Amino acid sequence: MSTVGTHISKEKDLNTQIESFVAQIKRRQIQGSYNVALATAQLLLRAVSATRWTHIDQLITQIKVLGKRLQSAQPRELACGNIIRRVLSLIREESEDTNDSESGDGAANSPLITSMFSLLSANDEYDSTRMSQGLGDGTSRSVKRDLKPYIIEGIQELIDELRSIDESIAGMGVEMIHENETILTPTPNSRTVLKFLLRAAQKRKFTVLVVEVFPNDVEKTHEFALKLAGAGIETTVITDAMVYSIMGRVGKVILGTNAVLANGGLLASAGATMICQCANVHRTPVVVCTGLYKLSPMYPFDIESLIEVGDTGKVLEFEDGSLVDKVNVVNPLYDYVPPESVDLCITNMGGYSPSFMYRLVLDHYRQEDVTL
Amino acid sequence: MGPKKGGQAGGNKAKVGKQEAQQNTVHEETDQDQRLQAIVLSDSYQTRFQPLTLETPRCLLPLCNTPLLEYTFEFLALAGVSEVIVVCCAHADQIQEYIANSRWSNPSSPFTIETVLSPESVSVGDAMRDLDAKGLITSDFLLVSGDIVCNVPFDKVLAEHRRRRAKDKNAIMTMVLREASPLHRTRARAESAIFVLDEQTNQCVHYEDIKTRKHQITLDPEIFNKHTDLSIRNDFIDCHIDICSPDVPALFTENFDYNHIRKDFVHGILTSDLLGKTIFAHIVTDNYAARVRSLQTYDAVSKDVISRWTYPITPDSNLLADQTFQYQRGHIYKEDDIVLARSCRINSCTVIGAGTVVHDGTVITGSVIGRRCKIGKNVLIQSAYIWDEVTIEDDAIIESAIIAKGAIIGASSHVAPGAIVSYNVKIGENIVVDGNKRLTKYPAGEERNINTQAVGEDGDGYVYEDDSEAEEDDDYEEIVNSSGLVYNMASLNGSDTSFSTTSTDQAHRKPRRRRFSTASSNTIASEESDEDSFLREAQASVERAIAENHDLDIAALELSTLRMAKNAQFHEVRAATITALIGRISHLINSNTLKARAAVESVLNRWGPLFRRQVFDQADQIDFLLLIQRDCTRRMQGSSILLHAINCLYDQDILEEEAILKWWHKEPQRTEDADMVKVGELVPRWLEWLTTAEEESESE
Repeated sequence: MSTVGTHISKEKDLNTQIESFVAQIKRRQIQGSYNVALATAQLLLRAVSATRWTHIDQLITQIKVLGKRLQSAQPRELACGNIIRRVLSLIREESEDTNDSESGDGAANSPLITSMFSLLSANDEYDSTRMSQGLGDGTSRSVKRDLKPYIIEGIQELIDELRSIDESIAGMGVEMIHENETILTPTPNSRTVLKFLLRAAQKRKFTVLVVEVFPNDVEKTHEFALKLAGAGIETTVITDAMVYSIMGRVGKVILGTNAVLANGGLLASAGATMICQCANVHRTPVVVCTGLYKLSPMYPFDIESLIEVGDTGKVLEFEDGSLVDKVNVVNPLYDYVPPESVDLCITNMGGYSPSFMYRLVLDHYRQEDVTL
Repeated sequence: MGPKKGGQAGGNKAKVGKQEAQQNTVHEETDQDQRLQAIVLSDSYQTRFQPLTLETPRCLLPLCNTPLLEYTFEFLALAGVSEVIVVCCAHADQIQEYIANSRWSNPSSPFTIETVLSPESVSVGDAMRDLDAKGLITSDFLLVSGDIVCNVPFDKVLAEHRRRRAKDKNAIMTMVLREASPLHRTRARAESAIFVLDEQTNQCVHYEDIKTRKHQITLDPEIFNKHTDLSIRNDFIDCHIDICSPDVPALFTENFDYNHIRKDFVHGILTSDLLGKTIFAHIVTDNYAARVRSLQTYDAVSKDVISRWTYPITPDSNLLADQTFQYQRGHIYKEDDIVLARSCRINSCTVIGAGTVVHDGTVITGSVIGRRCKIGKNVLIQSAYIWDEVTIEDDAIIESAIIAKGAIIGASSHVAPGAIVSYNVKIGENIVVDGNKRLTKYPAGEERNINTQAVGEDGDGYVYEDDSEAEEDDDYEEIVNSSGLVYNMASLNGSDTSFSTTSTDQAHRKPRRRRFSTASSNTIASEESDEDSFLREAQASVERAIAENHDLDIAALELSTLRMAKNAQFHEVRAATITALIGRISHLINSNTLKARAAVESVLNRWGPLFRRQVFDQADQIDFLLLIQRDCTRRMQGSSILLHAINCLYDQDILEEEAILKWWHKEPQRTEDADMVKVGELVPRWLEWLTTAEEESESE
């Protein structure tokens, strides 16, 4: 009885956490893809440890249902969905691992386990046979229950990866930035870019031009520029209109992003597309710094449904009553940057061409989880 | 919904014990040394939304398909409030039920929520007094009404307030004001006010309701002495979001005639500078803050929410758990399960709820459509607010109107701008509903005939007539004119733009036309004891009230503020009032205007009620009588004044028989002083009458 009681209370507890997560993400109290990703991962960790299942498919369904709920809280914040899919693929991987070792013919399967690409070969047929195996086989039950610590460990690793992601990207800073180079960055709200530049500044001397990104990020731009200047980097804040005229002198455009789509396109702060196209005209390389948690398996079929529309008051002063009544203002927070505009994506796993992103998507996510 | 499904799926299986104890850390509350309480006044104490509010409280009316109260709670959650007390008055049962079923009562809610019934209260002041009596307020709190929409990050406002409080205990209140041009759509036209602020500190030094005094405001010259830079501003949306100290409810209790938080409380506190309390303003320039206080602002705030001024509180945030709004280009919000005919047109700034069906050829522009509505063919809907389950038949036209839940609009009918069609009203075919009509089905006392002219042969409902005219009519016309906005703001234009003066030297050129001439009293006060100065001022205040024929309430208010400022006893208040009134009476007699009896009656009938707030128990009454007696000794015809005064006050039930008898039999007073005895010479006769009257009534 008591176990039932604690179970129910745990489930309640979890529900409470989920609800408050949903509320906070709606209120934008959890904001920014990193924070959302971290909070999602932590919530999933709790969810997995609070859920019971007899078969791994139950866990997967439950996590999917939960994922759908979390994702719908703010459908335009892709990081949340990405983490859910990562966890799902991790669960599937663990279950397949145990299944494979259980089934005994390790010789056939063992090479597959080590390679991440092998996971892709797991088609439905393969799954279903294994499923029926699992259901019929009484002995496999005990093994499956033991999966929990592995899954929890896996999510814990994911959280650690998230926490250290900026460090591993920043490590590449020195290789990317030359001495006395002029760098332009239009995404001052990116912590990744900030750490990237700060790390490079330890070894290199260069100039950074920070684009103001009116209206949404003006204050952040100034904070960002202050931090850079504090580290001894020569920093200039420029208005958005100046970008084209100054592009000729820029060595590289370094971009942070909110999400990377499966085709290599980006969702970066509004205005980024213009700057990237301007860089393309000048043949200036555009480099994107992004953690892999931002990589989404979504394709930009309907760009508008991916772009968050923000506070109108940032564009037009609310106190101006005569305009407020007559003008319809739209303030998109992000821009879709097509993959052609980007030359290189630096991730925590190394630098890739945008056209290779689909491959990373296949490595990290399962096809069956793409629609939650 | 999601986890429930999940829970069921898991629940069927064998239960395995768990090791890991889970604590809720996802929602880590920001460490605050002080818990913040919020008082939500769910009642508006107004009738502007009638007849809609006859059936639903204002805070539960849907704004963009979400009850207003949700927006308020969302704001409180954003502000980091940890304890919410909802004061319910009208429709308390509905509000309580709503809150109990809402997510705010769940353990995941960021604050604890409690409802308090205050059924007798008819104003903000009453509610505050009630709260004070219940002793629910322990620290500084946020006072809001249940109809605000706001996304101002509150930490800064709060920090500033707390800093001020720490420095000066008398900074009792911070008002949050949003800058907006005077003709801004989101401003409630009927309630604009002028704030006089200190430029440096944002201290509010004067508040004036424009309505009460349209053409001039009078400032105390003292203000100019104390503050070098002042700005006089009329460019605020005042949505009554206040951070108050626990002193505020206490002050309401002390000044029982304060009703309105601005008109009475702020104005009162600031004009009686003797209290020494200060009120500050926090001016918001970046975010959104507004209050739905009239139909005109309902319209404006809806538009603001739709055009995302209130981000992140927008329809696509899906504040209610079962909402599924998605944003589309052009500020169009649609829920799932909507059926739109191929040829219908949904224009920008539109919200459409789930389950709604829109047929061919219909055009919807800038409107809010609720859930499960049925909208026929070739209907034209423009800037209208259509709540849930409304049926609109073919070829109808609806412009800038509110159609409440369950209403039916017949084919080819025309609802003109400004009309309100309340719950479940049925309008027949080919009917024109004028812009100034409010139709309802709510049973109102006597049997009402269905007005076939208004709703048609097969219609159902009658025209609602507003009982309390005047004030509300202004607003009412505003929604009528909401598209054109030709509201009479011309008279305010002079004060539209905010201006500031730098003027210590100009101070004394300003006209001194205040009720309290503090300047003159100051010079005397230095030489007098507090008591004398109180008597003098109080007496002057009553005399002025009589001379200028003030409202009784105002006179009482002045007296009570004076009393508190000088820390005077009621005895002194009485003495001062008596001196003033009897002085007036004897003046009337001496100038041969009236005979003694008529003079006493005319004065006391008008001003006698003042004593109601000064004389409480029997001891008070005896003291009061002695005071009258003593005062009369100084007057011509003192004895007859005394007699008539006692008679008159007895008739008004201010004096009780027992007290009068006790007073009379208080020997020392009678023998001590010949004058006193002399002035009382007529009283025994009256007493005789009194006792016989009593005996008669007893024998009956």
